[in-house]
This record gives sequence, C-alpha cells and structure tokens, in this order.
Amino acid sequence: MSIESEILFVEDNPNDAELTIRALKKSKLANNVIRVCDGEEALDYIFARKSYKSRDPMNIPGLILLDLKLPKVDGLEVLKIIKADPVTKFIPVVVLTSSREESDIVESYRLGVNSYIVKPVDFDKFMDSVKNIGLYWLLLNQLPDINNLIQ
Amino acid sequence: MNRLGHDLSLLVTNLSQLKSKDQIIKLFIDCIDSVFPDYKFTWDSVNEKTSKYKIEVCTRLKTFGFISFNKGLNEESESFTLVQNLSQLVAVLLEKTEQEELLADKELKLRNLLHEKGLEVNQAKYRTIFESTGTATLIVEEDTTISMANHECFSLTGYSQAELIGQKWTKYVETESLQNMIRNHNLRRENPLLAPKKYEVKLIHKNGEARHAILDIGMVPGTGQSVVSILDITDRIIAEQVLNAKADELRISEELFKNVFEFASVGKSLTSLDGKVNANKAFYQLLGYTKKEMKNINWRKLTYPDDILKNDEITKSILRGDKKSARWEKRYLKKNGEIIWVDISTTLLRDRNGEPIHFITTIIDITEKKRSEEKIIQLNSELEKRVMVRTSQLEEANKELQAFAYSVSHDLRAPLRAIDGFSKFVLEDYSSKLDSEGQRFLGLIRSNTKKMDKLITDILALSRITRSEHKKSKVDMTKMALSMFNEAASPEIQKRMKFVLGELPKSSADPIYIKQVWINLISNAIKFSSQKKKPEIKIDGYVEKGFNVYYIKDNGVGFNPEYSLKLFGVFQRLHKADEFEGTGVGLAIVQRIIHRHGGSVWANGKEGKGATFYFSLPANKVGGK
Repeated sequence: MSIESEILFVEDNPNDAELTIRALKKSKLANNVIRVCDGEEALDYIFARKSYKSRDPMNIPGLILLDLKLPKVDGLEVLKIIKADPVTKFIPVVVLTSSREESDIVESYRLGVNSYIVKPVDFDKFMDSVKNIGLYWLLLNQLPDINNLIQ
Repeated sequence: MNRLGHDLSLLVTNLSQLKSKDQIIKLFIDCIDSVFPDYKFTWDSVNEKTSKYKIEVCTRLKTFGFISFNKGLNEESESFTLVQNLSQLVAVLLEKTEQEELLADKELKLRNLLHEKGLEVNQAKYRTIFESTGTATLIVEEDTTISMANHECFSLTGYSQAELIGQKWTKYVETESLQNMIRNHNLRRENPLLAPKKYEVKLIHKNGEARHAILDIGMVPGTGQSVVSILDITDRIIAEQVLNAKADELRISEELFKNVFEFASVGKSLTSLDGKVNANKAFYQLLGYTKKEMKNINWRKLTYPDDILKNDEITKSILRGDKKSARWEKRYLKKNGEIIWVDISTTLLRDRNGEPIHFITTIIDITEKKRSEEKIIQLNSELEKRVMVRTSQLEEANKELQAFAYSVSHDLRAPLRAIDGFSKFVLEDYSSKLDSEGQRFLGLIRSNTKKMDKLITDILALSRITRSEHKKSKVDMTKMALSMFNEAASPEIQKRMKFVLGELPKSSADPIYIKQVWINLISNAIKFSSQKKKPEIKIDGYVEKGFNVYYIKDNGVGFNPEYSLKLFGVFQRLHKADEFEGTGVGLAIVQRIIHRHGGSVWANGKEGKGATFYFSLPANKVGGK
C-alpha cells in the first residue's frame, strides 16, 4: 500500500513510446516507467485485472501519461473511468497526444484531466515537454496521502 | 134663330174656358160684332168717355165696362135684348175670373212669403255644407260662370273665392282637358244620362303648375246650374309616377341581374334556405348537369360528402348574423363522379326586415390550381426528403472530414515525430561516425519534418475555419492589430521598422479568427519587407458602402499583379521556397475567414514596390470608427 514514484505510460505507437522513454531517461525520470499499449491494458493494470491480477491494486502509479488515440478502449474512455473511481481519480493524468482538436481538449478537461500536452514534432521541444511534465508532476506537485483517503 | 142661339151658347162655353178678363172681353166683342156687324160694337173701359148708345157690363157689385154701338140699334129690338143679356152673362164671367185672379195672386204672395222664409234657412244650411265638404266645390251657371266657390278652391287653384266668382270656369282648365269638358257639358244638356258624372281633368294653378283633378258634376234640377266637386289627385298622380319610375328601375335592375346571373362566366347560384339551388349556365355546366337536371337540386347532393359539414357551419354562422358573407374552398361532385375544387363566395340576401331570403353564391373552378398546389406540396415533401438525404450525406461527409482531419492531426504527425526523433538519436549517439555532410543531411531531414508539421498545422487550421461555428462579438480592430503586430514582429524588426497604425473601424466578428487574419497578414508584410533597410508597414481602414475596409501596406518585395488572383489560393506561392519561408496556406486562411464573415479580400502590388492587402467586413452591426 504505497505510492511508488512510477509512471504509467499508455502509448500504442512504438516509435512514440521509444522517443518518450528516451526523453524520460534523459531527464532521469525513467526508473519506474510501466508502458502499456492500449486502453484496456491500461485499465487492467490500474485495477489489477487479467494479466495484472497479481499486482497490488493499492499500489497506484504517481502519474499517468495518456495518449488519446488508442486501440480497444480509447484514451478519453480510460480517463473517464480513472476519474470516476474514488481512489484512482487522485492520480494525476497528463494527456500526451498529437491532437490539437479543440473538442479533444475540452472533453479531456471535462473528464478531469490534470494537463493536456500536444506532442511537438520537433524532438528537441518534445524532450523539453516530457522533462517538464516529469519534473512538475513527480517532484514539484504535492499529492494527498492515498492511504488516508482509502480509510 | 136657332143658329144664332147655338152660336151664342158655344160662345158662352168658350168664354168660360178663358183665364184672363181681357181675353174674355176681346172674344165677346169679336163675337157680337161678327153676328151684328151693322152696329159697330166696341169695348169701353170704366174710366173712358162713352157714347150715348151703350150697354153697361156689370154685376150687382161692380161695373166692368161698356159696350158702345151706333144709333142703328133700336133699344126695343130683339138684338138689343140679346146683346144686353149676353153682357150680363159676360159680366158674371168677368167677375168670376177677376176673383180667381185675385185668389191666385194672394196665394202666390203667400207662397212666396213662405218660400223666402224657408229658403233663408236652407241657404244657411247649404252654405255650411258647401263650405265644409272638404272638397273644392263650385256652383257653375249654364254659361260656365262661377257663381259660388268654397275655400278649398283656393288651395286647389291658388285663386281666392272673390277672384273666382264671376269668372268663366273654363279659364282654369288646361286646354286639352277643356275639349273633353265641353263635350261632356254639351252631352249633359242633351241627355244627362249619357254624360259621365265623373271624369279627370288638368287644372292650371295660379302659379302655373298643372293640377290633376277628378270632377264630380251634378246638375241642380230645374236650373242650368251645376255643382262641381273637384278632387285634387295631383299627389296621387305624382306618387304613381314615382312608383312607375321605381317599378321601371326595378324591372331594369332585375333584368340586369338576370343577365349578369345567367350569362356570367363564373358559376352563380341562388340557394334557397331549404337548400335548393337555382344555378346559372356556367354553374350547371361546370358540374356537368343540364339545366333541367340542375333545377331545384339540393346543394348537399352536389357537395363532396366530406365538405358538407364545413359548409353547413358556414351557412349557419351567416344565418346567425356572425358575418354577412364568406369565402372558402370546397369540393363539388360532378355528375360523372369527378371531384372539382371551387373557390366559393356566398352572401346572404335579407329582406327589409332582415329576414333571410336566399344565398347568392359564386363559384370559380380552381381544380387545376389545387392540383398544382398538391403537386407543389408533393414536390416540396420530395424535395425536403431529398434535402434531408443530402443533409445527412453532407453531415456524413463532414464527419468523415472531421475524422480525416483528426487522423491527419494525430497520425500524420507521429511518423514525422519519429523521423525527427530518430534523426536526433543518430546525431546524438552516432555523431562520431558521421562526417559533416552526413550530419548536414540529418539536419535537412529534421528541418523538413518541421516544415511538414507546419503544413499540417496550417491545413488543419484551414479546414477548421469551414467546419467550426463562428461566434461574433464586437472587436476593437485597432487594439487587435497593434497587439498582433507586437506578437508577430521581433524586437529587432520593430526597432528598425516604421509602423503606422490608423484608427480602425470596429467590426462585429469572431475575434479568434480575426486575430488569425491579422497575424497572417502582418507576418506576411513583415516577412516580405524585412529585407529592406527601412521596412515600413501601414495599417488603416475606412467605411465604404456598408463595409468596413482594412488594409495593410508594406514597402516589401511586392508581387506581379498578373498573379494577384493566385495569391489567395491554397499552396499558391509567388516566391521561391528558398527566398521566403511559408506553406502557401496563410492567405488562403485569411480569405476563407473573411468570406465566412461575409466580406472579401483583395490585394494591390507591383514587383519591388510593396504590396497592399485589403479585407472588408460587413459594417451593419457595429458601424463607424
């Protein structure tokens, strides 16, 4: 029952995943990154279901990096479920997507996203973004004690 | 002697027949003179001087005269004695006659006396009656002189009683009537039974007007006088004339109505309160009946069953007096069963007391119109269906476009990011194994990915303008242009640029998109003038023909005016890629935004002489500067 400083990274595109992980590594934030490839797997992991059955469900990630366009269950659906759950809704979720669509941005915030970042094509800028996200949410931002909340 | 005796007794008989004394005396003298012509008998009255030879004609009471004769008659003769005896007889006769005359005279006097007394009373009575008959009455003498006239005659003729009396009655009669009157007058005197007692004449009033009158003439028995009662019927005649004129008018108007009714080109009918239709030719022909078949047919039989109820309601409402007339559309059944549509107008005719008489109805065949209308309705609904189909197709297409844009935005960028990212990895991880040329190539790969990214961004922006709704509000264009200039121009450029901003008209527009317009135009102006030593940009605006016009003028490289139309096309560029950066979408975005606002864009320029870009926005909502 502890919060490890782990990042749940939901991304279907392997190239994007590799770029992001490299960016996280360069920012020395990649010690405990769990990458899943679609929305369903993300939910399975969060709620310790199916292949993640053995995982302690109370061991929740400190940050979720969520792509929107995902196979099976899409990012907005994942966001909706996380933010509807009394425990998981405290997990900071940062949408990291290629979409600049206003509708996506609005819907994400409506569902309670903590940040919405458009992935820059320029890798240098992408690096900066990932670095800043990690620093902010994992180091600067203060979260409530999950254990107290559950009791 | 016998003969003489006979003659004398006859004489006496004759004498006794005579009424007056003179006649008796004369006959007696003539008689004796003829019997005894030798003695010259004459009659001498009492007072006359007489001859010596005479016989006194007397009774015991009175001497009546003498019979004189000459000396030839011997007083002793038989003749003398005869004459003497006869004289005595005559005297008695005379005395008797005289007494009778006296009696008659007395009787006459008495009678006259009595008569006069009675007449006075009667006259007063008759005078009163005469005056109060209420009818103009005249007493006319034989020669037509008016001897009496009552007061009514004054009102009839305008002449006073005094003026009338003594005048010829004919003076007041109109010439034509007079002929008739004279005829009647003469006829009456020949045989009163043959002359009409009453007849009509025209009299002339003092004021010259003719008066119509009926004369009622009665003769006063035993005299030539007549009583004329005159009844003034002028008012009656005038009333009759007026009535006749009215009757004529009525007849004419009836005739006219009948004509209009019968020969009207539209169907007309008179419908009685019990529903019987009296139709004109156009009406029964329209419904396919003959005149005979149509006669007194009930309108319900002619009406399409579904329309009877409505018709009944309308006629009831008119009968109640809610309205005087009504006009609506209804269906009739033709004799052959076809349905026809008519435009029907009906008015209720009421008599003077407001009692309904019948409905006057006009019908016009609108079947064709109705059919067209039905067709139009059908076409419209088909059109609506088609529009609905098209709309849903459009919506579908729009959704697809949105999905496409989403996909472009999301999926097209991922490979670009990978290309750029992995190029960077190579540069970072393998820089020692690459020569400078290899490193330059990787740099080119990376700069191209950025260009591609910009292109995608712009295309998406362009498609978003069409897809999204614009929310208009009042925009302070001066303020917006200034802030956009500050955003677009780097401090270095601002330092060396001459920037002039006029006071711009305010507009009603979507600020997000108008911002984009300013950014694009200002960036363009900066881009194409920044190579100048002293770049200049001027922004100003004016109001013209209901539009706010804005322009941005630079002293940059300008363009060939031949290609000015190409300026606003997507991916159209007038400069080589290595001269000026750009995707060729910026001005297309400007044009699309302005068009969506109901305005227009245009540009002036010459190569090397700068360019001016204009855009206009409707000024109807927020006018003025």
